[in-house]
Amino acid sequence: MTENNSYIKSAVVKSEYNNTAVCTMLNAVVTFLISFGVLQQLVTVTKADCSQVILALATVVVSFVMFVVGKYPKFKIAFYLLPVAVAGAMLVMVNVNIVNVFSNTVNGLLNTVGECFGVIMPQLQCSETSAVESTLFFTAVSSVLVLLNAMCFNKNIAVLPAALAVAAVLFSAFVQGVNAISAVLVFSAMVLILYKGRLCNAAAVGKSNSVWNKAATFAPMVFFTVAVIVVGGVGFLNASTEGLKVNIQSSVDDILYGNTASMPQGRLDNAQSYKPTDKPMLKVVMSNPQSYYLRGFVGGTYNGNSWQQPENKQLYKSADLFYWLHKNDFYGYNQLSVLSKQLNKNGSENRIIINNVGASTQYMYTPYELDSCSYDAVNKNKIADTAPVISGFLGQRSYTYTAVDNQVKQYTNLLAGLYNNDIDDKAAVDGYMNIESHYSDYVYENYLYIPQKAKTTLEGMLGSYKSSEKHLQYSTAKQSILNVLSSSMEYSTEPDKGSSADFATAFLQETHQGYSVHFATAATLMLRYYGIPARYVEGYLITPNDVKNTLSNSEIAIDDTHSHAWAEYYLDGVGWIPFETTPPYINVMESAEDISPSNSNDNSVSNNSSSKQDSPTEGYEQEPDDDSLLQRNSDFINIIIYLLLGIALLAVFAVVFILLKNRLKRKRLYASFNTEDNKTSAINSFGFCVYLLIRFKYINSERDIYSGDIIITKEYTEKFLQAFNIYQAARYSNHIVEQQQAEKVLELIDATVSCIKKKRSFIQRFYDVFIACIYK
Amino acid sequence: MPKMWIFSLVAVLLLTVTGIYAENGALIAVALFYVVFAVIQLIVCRLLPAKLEAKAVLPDTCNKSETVEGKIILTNNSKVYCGCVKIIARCTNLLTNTSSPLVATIFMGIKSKAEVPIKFNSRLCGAVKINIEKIQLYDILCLTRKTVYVPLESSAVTVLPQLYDISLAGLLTNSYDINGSQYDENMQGYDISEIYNLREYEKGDSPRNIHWKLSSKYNSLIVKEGSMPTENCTLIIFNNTVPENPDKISLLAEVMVSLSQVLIENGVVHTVVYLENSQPVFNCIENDLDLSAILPKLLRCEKTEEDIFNCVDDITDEYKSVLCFTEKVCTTEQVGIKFITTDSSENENCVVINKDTIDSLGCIEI
Repeated sequence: MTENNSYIKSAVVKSEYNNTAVCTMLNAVVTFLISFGVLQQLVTVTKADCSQVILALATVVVSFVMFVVGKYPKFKIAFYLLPVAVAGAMLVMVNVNIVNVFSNTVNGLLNTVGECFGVIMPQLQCSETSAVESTLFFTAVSSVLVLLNAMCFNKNIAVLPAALAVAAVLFSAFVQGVNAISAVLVFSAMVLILYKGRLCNAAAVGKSNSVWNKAATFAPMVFFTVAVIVVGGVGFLNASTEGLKVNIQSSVDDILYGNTASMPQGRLDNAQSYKPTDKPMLKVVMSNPQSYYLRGFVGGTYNGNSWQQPENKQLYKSADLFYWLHKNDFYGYNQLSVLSKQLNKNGSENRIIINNVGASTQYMYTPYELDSCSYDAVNKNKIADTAPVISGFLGQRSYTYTAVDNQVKQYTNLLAGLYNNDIDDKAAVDGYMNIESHYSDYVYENYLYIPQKAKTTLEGMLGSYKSSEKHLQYSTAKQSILNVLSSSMEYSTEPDKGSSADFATAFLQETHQGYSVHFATAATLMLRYYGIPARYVEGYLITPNDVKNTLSNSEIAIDDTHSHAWAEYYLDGVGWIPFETTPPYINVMESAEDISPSNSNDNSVSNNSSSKQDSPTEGYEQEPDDDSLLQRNSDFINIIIYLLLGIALLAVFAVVFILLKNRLKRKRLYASFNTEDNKTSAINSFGFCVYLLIRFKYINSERDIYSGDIIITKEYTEKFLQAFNIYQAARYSNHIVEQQQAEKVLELIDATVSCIKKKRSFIQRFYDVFIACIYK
Repeated sequence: MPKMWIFSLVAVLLLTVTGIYAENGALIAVALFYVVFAVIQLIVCRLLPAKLEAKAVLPDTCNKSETVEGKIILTNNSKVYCGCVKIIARCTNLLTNTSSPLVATIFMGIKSKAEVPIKFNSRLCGAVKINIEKIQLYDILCLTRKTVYVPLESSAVTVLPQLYDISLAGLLTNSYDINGSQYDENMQGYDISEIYNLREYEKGDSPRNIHWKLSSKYNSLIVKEGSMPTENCTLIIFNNTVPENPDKISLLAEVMVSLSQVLIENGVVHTVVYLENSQPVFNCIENDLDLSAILPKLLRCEKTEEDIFNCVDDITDEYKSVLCFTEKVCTTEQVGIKFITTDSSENENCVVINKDTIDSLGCIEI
């Protein structure tokens, strides 16, 4: 069977509903919902300070007026001009500050992206903008959104703006977090679009549906919409989904990066037992084999049942600080190496190659002595506090970095060197101390938090701690912690699970059993209790036994039995130092001081609570002035601007080129109508007329001109038939075509164009004549 | 309705993601309920099948290129709520074997009726029939779908062929049986062996027609008028197998009907034969009513491997004039048959017709 619509055409008669008032109002409502929903999300993402009421009112007014006015053919042009006029008026009112408002909006967006991905984003130079200016700007944006939506409705592609709105809301949810109101608005719009189809068909159906049927049709959707609005606004049943996002994220991470089964990666609920296998996890090649702690997962926030890495949002609050720190090549994860190199210029460098064969590829396993790493695998703009953040969708399997000699076992020397006035480059060290003091403030601000339940437990175990000093002496604190954990807790690879919801409380008060995860968690919280910033770390140990008799550049296989969890604390001036509290591991790795569970002596570590320098020092940039924010203009934003300008310029050139080409084509075409050869002129002219008739749908194909059914007006038909005969004679016979006959055919062109123009709107005519250059 | 299915799925996804990111369990619950409701409706539909009836209301005839309006009436006789119903139908011209799809979406409740106004326009003649290929039932949220097959009660719409002027040079005389004994009571003819009427001589009458006996009796010239013999001597074969070119089969049908009409006007009783259910069907055409009666069945193509020439081979000898309207000329030797075809042929027994020639000449010579 041939499906060819030139032989037979069939269609369902379109309902007249589309022209009714109800349909118009419905279109206006849906337009408002989608536009305002997207606008809400834009305002949230750009952190703009606007009046929501005014934005809502403006969107409503523009939506409704557009659709009401658009129903009248005479005012159809107003349908498009109104939102453009409103947008223009708003922008004029903002006046010269429009660039400032736009820059602030862009900065807000960049900050949101930076918060999401933890990347230092550049900022445009601008001053603060007022709420009024922001409101005016976003009113203009809402007008544009309304116009785009309305145009899609007019072309019966209502699904497109709804789909784009959903995509925008979902993307914003990922980046910023969802604005429930915008989600509800977009959802309501989608429901109404679904029902618009129903209502449009209802007119075609007629009176055949009873009241009950109509109620049954509308009831479910009314229920859903009301339910969504209510629960979206009220927000009950939150508790049941708490942690769902985290669990989903964890599952996705496990799939992407792999999972080290023996270590919970901060998810303490999964810490049921420790059963490592012999499966190799890392293959390490060192130019100077030494023992190191290889850090992987670092948990900074404890919430009772998990340790979480410092959140991007949290890190981004200190973006300015990190920008300045990174500019001065200061990173929290390589402090030891920086200090070591400053104090000992002749130190050796250890080149380390890691081949990740079984561990999670999400983390870069680096020692405390990390010096530098290949930045091909590392995102340098990332705000990284714990370790270099590696790039790549599936992480990295292989990377190289350099480290200095093991400083963990001799960090006391570093501390001594800091306060030694006889060192060679005192100025450099002082400069380092200046910068470190700011980082130290950040550390004390972010790594001391203990949840109340755990705090109560610790108070019971360690006694109430109050001190006028910043924190308890390091040695005293560490000795106390070791004593408590060693005497009261038992090491077990399959500990019981306590009933308390708080992991630390269950370990310390109920089960008294655990393995490295338990001990590290407890030690971290106890250090924090004593006022010492501390974090929970999971990683691998390269023990002295592993490197004993190992040749330089030979491969060391680190299997799952080397996986371990420990606590690390921040030693003022020096940096992060690991603190081992798990009984079987206490003497495995080398340490600087001789602190054991029974040894309470050691006063060599002094409490350096005031290590800040007040005056700036040579070799380092001046510390940031708190009163003024540094503007992070960088080449990056300039490149983006140039790129956008380049694309815009190319687009303009392309448009101009196409317009000129069209004009030239039309000029040549019209020239072919006025040739000396009357026959050619007649043939070309008539052909052009037929082309116009087909293009503007007066006929379907050339065959229709033979059927004689072209009836536009009586006069036109007569002219057409005359011209047709002349064309036939010119084309198929040897008859001479007179000048008059050729002119008759030319007159047909004018008649055709004038008939076409009568049916086209102003904008369509403008497009036909000046853009597509179809006719003159 | 793929768009609506995606639409609803996106709505569910939006709610779910919103619920996860906002940690709002109720939104997730609403999204789940959304899906569960659709599944429940699907299960109910499967257990209690919808009793649907479909009927089409269309005119009996129309002209070529005329827009015909009608409606399909769908009735749900069951207590199952249908929700969204998608009717996938096809409008087919049975002669030219061309079709056009027809898709309509309606919402139906319990024990309700829905009317779908439709229209079609056929450029060629033939019998146009509307068939429902399938009906898809969706739940109210368009997430789940069930397909049912419902026959459509409808008759075909006959798109009347355009009539042309036919010049029957020589054909008419061969259309009469000289030895026949039946004559038309009402129509004058050519056969003077049977007198139809007597009248006075008028200038131009043939001397052969003068009734000398009566003329001598009445002392004026009396002329006899011949009668029209009505023996059925003409066979018209219409080869209505599946056509290669819709325009050509349509043109052949129109010429054939035009010929039949001219023969009727000339009082020539003739037989029209065409294939129906792979068998040749013979119809005696004496007047317009006979022709109108066979048109709906005539203007359909037959999907068969049977060759109509084989079917009528034995019978053609019984007729004085045999005309065959065919798209392709028969390859085997057919004596005594004149072919009217749209294919170019050098066979002297073939009359080749095409639209351009007809339009330029204004009539057809057979």
